[in-house]
Amino acid sequence: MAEVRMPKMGDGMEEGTLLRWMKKEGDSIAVNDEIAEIETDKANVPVPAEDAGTLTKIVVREGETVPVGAIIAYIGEADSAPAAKNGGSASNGSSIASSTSVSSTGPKKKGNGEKLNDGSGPQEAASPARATGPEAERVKASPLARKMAEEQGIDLAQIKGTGGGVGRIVQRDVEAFVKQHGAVGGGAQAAGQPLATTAQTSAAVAATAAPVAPVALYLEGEDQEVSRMRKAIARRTVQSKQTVPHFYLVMPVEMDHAMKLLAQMNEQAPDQKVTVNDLIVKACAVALTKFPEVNVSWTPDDKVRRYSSINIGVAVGTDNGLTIPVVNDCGNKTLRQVSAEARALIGKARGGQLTPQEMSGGTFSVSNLGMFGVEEFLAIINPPESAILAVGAVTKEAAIGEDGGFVVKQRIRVTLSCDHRTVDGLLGAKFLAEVKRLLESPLNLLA
Amino acid sequence: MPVMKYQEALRLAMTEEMERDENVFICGEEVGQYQGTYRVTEGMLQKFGPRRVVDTPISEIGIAGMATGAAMAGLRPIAEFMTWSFALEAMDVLVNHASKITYMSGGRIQCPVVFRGPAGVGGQLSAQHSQSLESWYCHTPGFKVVVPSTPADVYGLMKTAIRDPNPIIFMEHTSLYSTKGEVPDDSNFTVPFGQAAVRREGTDITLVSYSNMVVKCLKAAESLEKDGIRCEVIDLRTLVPMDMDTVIASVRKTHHAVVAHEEWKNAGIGAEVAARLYEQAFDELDAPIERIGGADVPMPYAKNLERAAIPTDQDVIAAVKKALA
Amino acid sequence: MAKTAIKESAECDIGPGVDTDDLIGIYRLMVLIRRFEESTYRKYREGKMGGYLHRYDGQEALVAGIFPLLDLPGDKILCTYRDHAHALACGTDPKAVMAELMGRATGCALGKGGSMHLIEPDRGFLGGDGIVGGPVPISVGVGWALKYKNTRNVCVCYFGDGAMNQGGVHESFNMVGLYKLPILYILENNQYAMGTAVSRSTGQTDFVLKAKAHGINGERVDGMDVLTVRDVAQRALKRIRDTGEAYFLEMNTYRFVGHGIGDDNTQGYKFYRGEQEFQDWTKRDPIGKFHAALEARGVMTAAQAEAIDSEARHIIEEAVAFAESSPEPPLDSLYENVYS
Repeated sequence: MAEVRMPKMGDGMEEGTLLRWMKKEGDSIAVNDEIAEIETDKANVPVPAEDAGTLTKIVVREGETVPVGAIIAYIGEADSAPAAKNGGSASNGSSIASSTSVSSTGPKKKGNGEKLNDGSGPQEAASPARATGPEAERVKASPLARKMAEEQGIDLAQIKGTGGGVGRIVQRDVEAFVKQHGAVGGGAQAAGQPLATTAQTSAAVAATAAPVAPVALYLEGEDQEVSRMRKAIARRTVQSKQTVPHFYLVMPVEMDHAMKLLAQMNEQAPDQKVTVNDLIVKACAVALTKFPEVNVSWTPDDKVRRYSSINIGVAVGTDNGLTIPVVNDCGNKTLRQVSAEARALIGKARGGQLTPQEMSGGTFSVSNLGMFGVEEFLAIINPPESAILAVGAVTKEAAIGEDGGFVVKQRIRVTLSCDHRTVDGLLGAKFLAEVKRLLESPLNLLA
Repeated sequence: MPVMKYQEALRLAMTEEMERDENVFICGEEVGQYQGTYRVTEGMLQKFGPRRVVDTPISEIGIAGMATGAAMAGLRPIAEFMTWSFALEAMDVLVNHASKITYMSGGRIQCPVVFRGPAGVGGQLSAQHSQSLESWYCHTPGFKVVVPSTPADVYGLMKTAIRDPNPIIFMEHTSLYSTKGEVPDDSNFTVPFGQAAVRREGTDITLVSYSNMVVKCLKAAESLEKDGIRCEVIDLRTLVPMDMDTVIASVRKTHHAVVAHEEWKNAGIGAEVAARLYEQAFDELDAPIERIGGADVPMPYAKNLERAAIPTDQDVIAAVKKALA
Repeated sequence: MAKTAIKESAECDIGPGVDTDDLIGIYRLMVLIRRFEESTYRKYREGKMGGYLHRYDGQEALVAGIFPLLDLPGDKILCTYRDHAHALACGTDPKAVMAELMGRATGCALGKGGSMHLIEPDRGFLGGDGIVGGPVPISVGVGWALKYKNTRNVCVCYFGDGAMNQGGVHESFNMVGLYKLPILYILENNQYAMGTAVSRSTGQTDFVLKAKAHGINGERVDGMDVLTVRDVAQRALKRIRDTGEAYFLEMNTYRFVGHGIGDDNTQGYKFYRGEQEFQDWTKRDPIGKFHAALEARGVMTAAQAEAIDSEARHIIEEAVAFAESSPEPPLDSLYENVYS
C-alpha cells in the first residue's frame, strides 16, 4: 500500500488545495499518471503517481486544503482497499494510517465491515472488497444549511462550517460560500422556472446538483448582483450542458429561392414582413411533422415522450438576457400565421412583457444570430426539448454552377444540436436534410 | 384604555361573566369572607352573595368534584385552588373525571368548568408550594391549558375560558398578580385560545415562552438588542391548544429558537415545542433548539439555591448566544 | 357476616295501597336486569365484549326498588362501574346498552365508554364511574346544581362499601352535610370490596354512623327485599325534596357472581366467600322472594311470570342481534369528543 501525499511544489509552500481528482477510486494507476490537480499559492499543478496499482482510497476531497505531507490518497492492490474495511471513516493522514495497519493485520481481527458479514454466508465473505468509493463522511450542517446547499447545487463538503462551536455548517456559511463562488445552479427551484416545461426536468435537476467545480482563483473585481433571469439562464444552461449529451450536425442550405420568395411576399404586404427566421421556423415545423420522433423529450423515468403538438421556441436576445417565447402548434399554422405570432412574441419579449405561459411548453427551438453576421454556431438545447437549430447569417458564396463555372449563391449554415438520448445521428441528419429540402424548395412552406 | 393590575383584570373578567351568565359561580378556599388568598375575588361575595361565591372547606377533591359535577349538570363553575400545588389532591377528579367525561360519554355530556389559581415558582416557598405543573395537564387530552402573562390577556382569556364548553386549566402566576397593564374597556373583549402573541418582533432568533417567563424573555431581548441581536419574543398564551403556526412562521424568519419556561426542564413544554419544531420546521433550523427550564430538583428554600433553580433573563441571554454561535 | 341490626323480612310485605301495575313493573325490571347480566356473561365468553364486566346479579332490588320512584330526567343518577342495571332501569334502550358493551357505534356512549361508562343523559343518568368512590365528589356538584337551580330534583348517587374508605368520599360527605344538598346516597354494601370483606377493610363498620358524622342522616336497609327498599327510598326521597337535605341508605346486599370477569370466569369469588355464606345469601334472592310474594298474593300468576321472563329474553335477543349487526365506531371518530 503506497501513500500519496500532498507534494511540496516549491519553497514556502505549506499547504495545498486539492482542486480536482483526475482518477477515481478503483482506477488503475501507472507510474507518472496524473491522478490529481492541486492548487498552490502560485499555480495549479498536476500530481503524478509515483507507484503503480489501483487508486484504493481518496482521503482528501476536492476543495479541501491540507498541509504539505498529508496523505491525500492510497495506491495499492485492488483487494486491499482500506476503504472497504474501515467504512471510510478516517479523514486525515494519521488516522487513516492507523486504520490501515488494522486492516493490514488482516482478516483475523474483525473490523466493522467484516462483522456485518459474519452470518451472511461464504459467498459474501469470499467476494473481494469493492473499492466503490469512500462512504460519504457525515458533514455537520444545520437542516437549513443542507436545504440551502441542495437548492443551490452546492456540495456541503466544500463549505467550511463555523457554527455552534463545533464547525457546523450554518446559514451564514452557505451564504458566504455563495457570495464568494456563486451557486452552481440546477437546484430544485429550476423545475419551477418558466423555461422548464414539465416535471421531467427534475431528474436532470437532481443530476445537476452534483459537486461544484473546484474552488477557482478569482481576481479582485467588483461583484454585481444579477437578475433572476440571469440566474435562471445560468442554472438552465449548466443543467442542460451537464445532463444532456449534445451532438451537433451542420448543414449548408442554399437560400436563393427562399430569399426570392420572401422578397415577393414582403413586397405584397410590407407591413406584415416575413423574416428568414419565420421561414426556418415553418420549415422546422413541417420537418417535425414528417419526423415526429424529433418532437420528443427524454423523461426522468427513462422513457421518450412524444408530443402531439409542435411548439417552437424562438430565442430572443434582450437587454436583460435570453428569452425563448414559444409559437404553439406550428404544424397547423400557415407561414403568415407563424410569422405574425412570432413577431408579436418577439415584441413582447423585448418589452419584458412575456407571461410565463408564453415562455413554456416548447418542444423544439430555433436560435438565430445571423443578423449579427455570425455564420454558424452551436446552441445549447433548451430542456426538456430534444433539439435546437442554430441559424447563421445568409451569406453569398461562390459555388460550382451546372455549367461547371463559378456562380454566386446565397447560403446559410444551420446547426442542429441533438440530445443523443432521444435523437441519434441518423435521425438528426434525416431531419436536417428535410429542413434543407424545404428551405431550398420554399413553395412547400406556403401550404 | 384603563390600566389595572393582573389580579384586578382577572376579577373584572369573572365579575362581568357572572353578571352576564347566571350559571357562573365561583367556589374555593377563602374566596368569600377572606376576600381571596391573593385578593383575586375581593368584594365578590359582597356583590354576588354566598350562593355564587362559595367558601369551601380545605377539601380539594370536594372542590374539584363540586365544580365538575355542577358543570356536568349544566352550570358553569369556576373552581379556585389556593395554589395549583394543592390541586394535586384532586388529581383523580381532574384527570379521571373532568377531562374525560365528554369523551367517555361519546360527547353526550359537556363539562364547562374553569379550574384556576396561582401557579409558578419563587418567594422562598420551597418544594411543596413553589412549582410549575402545567405539563401534567397538557399531557392529558381533554383539558385546555391557559397561562396568561399580561393583565389584558388574563382578562380576555378568562372570559374565553368561562364561555368555553370544556374543562379549562387556568394557571395564573403569583409574580404577575401585581403587574399592571392596559385592559380594553370592553366587556365583550376576549382573547381566543390557540393564538400566540408576538410580544416583540425580531429577525435573529425566536424566543418561545409563556406566563412569567415572557417577562424575562423580553428583558433578555432588550439587553441582546444592544449587542445587535434582534429577538422575536412569542407568548404562547395557551399551551393547549398550542399555536405552532405563529412559532413556525417566526422560525422561518429567524431560523433559531429558544424555548423558555419556569417549570422543570425534563419532559416539559420546552421539549414539546422543540419536538414540534423539529417535526414541522426541521429544514428551517440553523442550530439546535435551546431549552431553558427550572432545575430538575424539588424547589430548595435557601435563597441562593432557589435563585439557582429558577431560570432568569441571564439564562435566556446565554441560550441565545449559544444558539447563535 | 353482615350486620344484623336491620330487620330482615322473611317474605315481601306487600302492604295496602301499592299499585299492582307498579309491582309487576318492578318485577319485570328485576327479571330484565338478571337475564341481561346472564347474557352479557355469555357474550363476553363468546369474545363479543372486552375489558371488565361487573354484573349486578343479586343486587337488583337496589335499582328496581328506587328508579321507578324517580322523576327522570330532572332527577340525576350517578353510579359505579357496576352500572348495567342502572342504565336499563333509567330507561336506556337495551339495544344501546348491549351495543355499548360490544363497542359498537350505536352504543349509548358511541362505543367510547364501554361497560363501566354507560350513560343516558336524556334520562338523567350521568354515567357509571370506573373509580371506586369516584361518583361521590361528582355528586356534590350535581346536588349543588340542583339546589342552585332551585329545583325539587334529587341526585341519587350509588357507590360501594369499598368507597367508604376513600378520602374523597368523606371530603364530599362533609361538604354535602355542610351545604345541605338534595342527594340520596345509596351505599351498595355487597359485603366485599372486590375480594376484601368489610370486616377486613374497615375499622368502624357502621357506615350510617360515618354519614351522620358528616351531617347526613340515614339508615340501614335490607337490600334483598325490593319492597323494603322501595318503601324506605320513598320516604327518603320525599324528605330530601321537602328539606333539601341529603339522606344516606346503606343497602345490605350480595352479588351472586364474582367482582368482575376475572373471578367470574374462574369462580375465584369462592376464595374469599364461604360456601355456606354464599348459599345463605342466594336463598334470599330478591327476585325469587318477590316472585313468591307476588304469586302468593295473587298479584301475578305463574303464567304471567313465565311471560315476563320470555319477554325479557326476547328483548335481550333483540338487543344482542342489534348490537352484533351494528358497525364498530368509524375510525375517524377516534379524535372526536375529546373536546365539546
